[in-house]
Amino acid sequence: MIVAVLAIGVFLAMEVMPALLGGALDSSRIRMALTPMAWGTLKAAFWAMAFAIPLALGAAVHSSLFMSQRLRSRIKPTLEMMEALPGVVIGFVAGLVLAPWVERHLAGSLALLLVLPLGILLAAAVWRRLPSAGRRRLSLARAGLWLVPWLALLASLTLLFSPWVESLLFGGDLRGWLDAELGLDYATRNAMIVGLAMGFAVMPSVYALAEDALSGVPGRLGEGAHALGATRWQTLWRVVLPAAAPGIFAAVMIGAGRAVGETMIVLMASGNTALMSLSPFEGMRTMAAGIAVELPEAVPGSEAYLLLLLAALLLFLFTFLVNTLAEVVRSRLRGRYRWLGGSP
Amino acid sequence: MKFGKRRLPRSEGPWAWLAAGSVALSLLMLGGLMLLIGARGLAHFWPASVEQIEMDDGRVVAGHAVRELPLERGQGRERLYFTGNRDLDGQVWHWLPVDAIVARERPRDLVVLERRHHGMFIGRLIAVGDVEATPGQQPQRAGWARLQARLAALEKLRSERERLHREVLRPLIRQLDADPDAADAQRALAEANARVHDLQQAMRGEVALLESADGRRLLQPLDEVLRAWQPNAMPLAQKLAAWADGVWRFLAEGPRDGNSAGGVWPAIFGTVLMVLLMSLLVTPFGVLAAVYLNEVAHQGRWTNLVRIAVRNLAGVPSIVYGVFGLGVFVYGIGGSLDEWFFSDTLPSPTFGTGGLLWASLTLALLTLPVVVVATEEGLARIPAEQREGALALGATRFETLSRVVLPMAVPAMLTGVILAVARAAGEVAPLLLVGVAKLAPQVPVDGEFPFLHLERKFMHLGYHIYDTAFHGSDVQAAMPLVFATALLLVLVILMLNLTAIFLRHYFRARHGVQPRP
Amino acid sequence: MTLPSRFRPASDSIIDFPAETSCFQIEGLGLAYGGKPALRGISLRVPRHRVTAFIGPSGCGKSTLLRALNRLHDLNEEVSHEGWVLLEGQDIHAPDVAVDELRRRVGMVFQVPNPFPMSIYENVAFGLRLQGGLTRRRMDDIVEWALHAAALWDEVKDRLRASAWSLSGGQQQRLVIARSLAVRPEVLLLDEPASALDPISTLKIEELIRSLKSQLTLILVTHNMQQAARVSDYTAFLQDGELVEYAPTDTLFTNPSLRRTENYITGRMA
Repeated sequence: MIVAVLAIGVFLAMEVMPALLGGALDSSRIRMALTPMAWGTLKAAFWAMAFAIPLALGAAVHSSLFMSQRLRSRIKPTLEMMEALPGVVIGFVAGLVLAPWVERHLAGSLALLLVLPLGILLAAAVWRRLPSAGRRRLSLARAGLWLVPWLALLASLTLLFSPWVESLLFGGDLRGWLDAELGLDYATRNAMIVGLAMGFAVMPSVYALAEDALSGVPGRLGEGAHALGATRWQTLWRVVLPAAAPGIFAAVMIGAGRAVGETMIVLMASGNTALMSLSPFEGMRTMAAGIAVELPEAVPGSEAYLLLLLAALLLFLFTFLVNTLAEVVRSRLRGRYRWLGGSP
Repeated sequence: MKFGKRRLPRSEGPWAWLAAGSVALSLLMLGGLMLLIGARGLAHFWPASVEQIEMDDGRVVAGHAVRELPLERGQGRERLYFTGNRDLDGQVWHWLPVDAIVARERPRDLVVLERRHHGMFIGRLIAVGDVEATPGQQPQRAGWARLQARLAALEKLRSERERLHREVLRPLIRQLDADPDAADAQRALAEANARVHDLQQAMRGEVALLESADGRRLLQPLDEVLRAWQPNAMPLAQKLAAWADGVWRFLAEGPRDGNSAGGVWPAIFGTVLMVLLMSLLVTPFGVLAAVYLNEVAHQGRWTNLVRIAVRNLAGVPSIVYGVFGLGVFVYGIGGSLDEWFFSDTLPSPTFGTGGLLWASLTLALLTLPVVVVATEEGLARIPAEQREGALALGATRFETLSRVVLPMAVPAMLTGVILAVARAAGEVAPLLLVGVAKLAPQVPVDGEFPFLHLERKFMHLGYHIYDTAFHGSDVQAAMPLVFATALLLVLVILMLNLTAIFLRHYFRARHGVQPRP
Repeated sequence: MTLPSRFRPASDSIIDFPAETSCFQIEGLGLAYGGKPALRGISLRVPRHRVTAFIGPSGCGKSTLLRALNRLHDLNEEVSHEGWVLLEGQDIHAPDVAVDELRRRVGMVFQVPNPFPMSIYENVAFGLRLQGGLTRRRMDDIVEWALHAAALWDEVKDRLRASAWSLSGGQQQRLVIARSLAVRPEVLLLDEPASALDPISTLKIEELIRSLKSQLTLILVTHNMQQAARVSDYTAFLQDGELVEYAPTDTLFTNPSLRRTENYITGRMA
């Protein structure tokens, strides 16, 4: 019954393979057509993951180990709700609102990357100087909440002062400076924007899976480490994380699969130029976006059509492999927890 | 042994704080995004006040301020105004240097008209009257009252004409298409045409004499005017009413001006219809598959393999489903159907092109794993004792399944279907390949046999966003509308997800059971 | 630290040790989970280098009391407490007390063995590595000593690098004890350490407990009265979050002074 669904792979292979084997598709043509798209796909996925992984894992660690049960039961569905936001909406906001805005406030936006982490550390340093009543009210367990207004304040201050810093350091024109000093061309819709938007889209699923893996680690392990005098962070780093590592690996793999296959965000936020460059400030074209744009116009059976089908097959195989790997790792992990959870 | 004295307790270190910060940052981004969409989406319908601006070179402009930027390579800032009046100025935007503005005021007599062509008008109403008699100056208030009355009357005429079109003209035309010689129908058609013609005559009667802020005059036929308001003279309650009216028109009307104005009703309709069809297709398959996997099949290597495969399918990119839909449904099955049943209309395809049916089928495939996984989870939560209890009472396996297990799993199935619907409603990439249209003149449901036209293309909210935002002529002007559409889509999807979460929660609370190991 | 007189033991049924020979001094300890009281007015002194057992029906608060002694409740924000717990005369809730240091001095072993997912050696060395500053050779010595002390050395000396999860349940529990001993605690808290084990492993653990009291103070929570009678020197009986009777084990089991205690140990309690 379900096996019928596997027909997808079979169909793609059936359509493409005869052409490949029969020589209807020349290998140099394939290389020429697919390399830029494959490059773009990897680049987009890389930037998305660079953005999503720290955020998702940090959030997972915090909510599984530091938050109180009640707060966690509210925050987790909220973050998971992010996953439901449709790609078109995120793509639209990224491509038409965020991209021009970042272009105008480039210095401020780049400064945010530096200011926000430092701001969090500053908050931590200030927290240690607080009297104990204040420390209790603004506890680390609730830091996920009370840091929000603080970060919002920091962000707006950064944006307020960034033109001043920009004119001080870069003569008021960071874009020109980037171009002149580093030879980086800045495109409005670029890999950084795609990474941000797609990272935002991928983050919730990575978060949810990683959180499950972390909170699935039997609590007794953590208690054992605490009883030996480990702080919560030491407990996490030395006991919980190694135990949950396969689950976290699976979460990252599944996230990568998502990032590779996401279509609408790339389509709307990347500029769709088939460039091959490393620069985070230039656009790219991914396989998924290429298929979406070109396939409706391709004549069935033509070379372009077959090439696009080949791209789809590659996408399918890649995500299928990655997901199978992740799923196998996850089911192993579940078995391990069950073994640990029951009496030996 | 003494405790080492420390002035301060040992902290968890910087990493713990960075982890907390990432939660905060995620929440901040989510909140920011929702706020942005919500605010921009809802503000679109608000009858905002209109400013009249006088420049130092004597120019006078009226409009809404949109945003402000520093001048390129220069001192000072400039501000963007939405000024409407495309027919007079050839554009709807004005960049004005802030330093050059002499006076800003909000005269109460400024009117805003929403028109069928050329978009908004912002200016003053001089008079309302017949086409022939060139209207002279009228008292302001009387002119406004007369305009309102005429617009209300026109609205009635317009809906009457719509009704005629829908209920009389279209069926007649279809009848004549089938049988060109039916005399009754021809006579009825002529009659109906005449009535429509009369209505149009009645609507055409009057014009309004308008004047822009800088004094250029313009005769505006009233049947082109859809709504009119005086934002600076409206009290709050009236503004709220106008806002609600705007929201309603957005939901209930079709798009105008190449999708850059008007409402999204056909897109809502298309989305809902497609999602409904999809759930009809996916529910039986998904539920049966889950029941088979969990209850009937021998649990072993093979079922585990299938389970992993199903979960995997959830991770396959949606565009790949689109390619599959295009290759198999549209070109494969659709092409064959055309050859067998619709060969008279070839080479123009009937089923051999993207359409409602293929889109629904593709999305049903796409969401199948969601339903299967959710249903399986629900089935696995039912404790084995329940099954054993029923079996011990002499029930057969089938009776146990249908009377005990399935009723208990209904909320889980429902959850699965709702999640599937939420996923499908937001999915656009496969639709690019298998059947949406930028503008579908005919909804896929009407009075003509077989009432539901599975082969037609349809409009979709998500695609509407993509298309309007990226392929429109004036993206800047269409932005508020895109925001409103995005807000609608996000709200619908969030509501569906919340329902699913609530159901799941309720289910878990009611049967406080642990998953079967 | 001098304490208000109201914390003097109220009834004859509660023995009192001089402060000098007691390791833990608990005075008027009350504890609540999110407002629901779990412990009320507990006052008792735990003698040094002895085995003290907490017994009582399930839900009486004996495990809660045990966890209060190394502040493991700190992890749960909803727990609030009142009263004093003094370790060697020092208030463990004082603001200048570092919790990690307290927990290093007061080790704990849990009901179900919880070895970490690493090798046997790394499990024992875990606490040492947290402190840092030890040479390789010194670490090896301490690990060997701790495994000897936990009577596990002979069984695992050839496979120190094997996963701790490959050991049997009883061995795992002794490994966990060795892990706690490696950081040289003054007190070892045992929360029903043998309840998940088979009779032979239980016997080994009990022997181990008796042999360890020359080196440190042990506090044992158990629901098994025979076990308490076998291994402990003093026994405290708790019921409904209150301390009912606290006496030398022989006295408590043969000649309890209160009817409630007698009912419980003779199994007549509802």
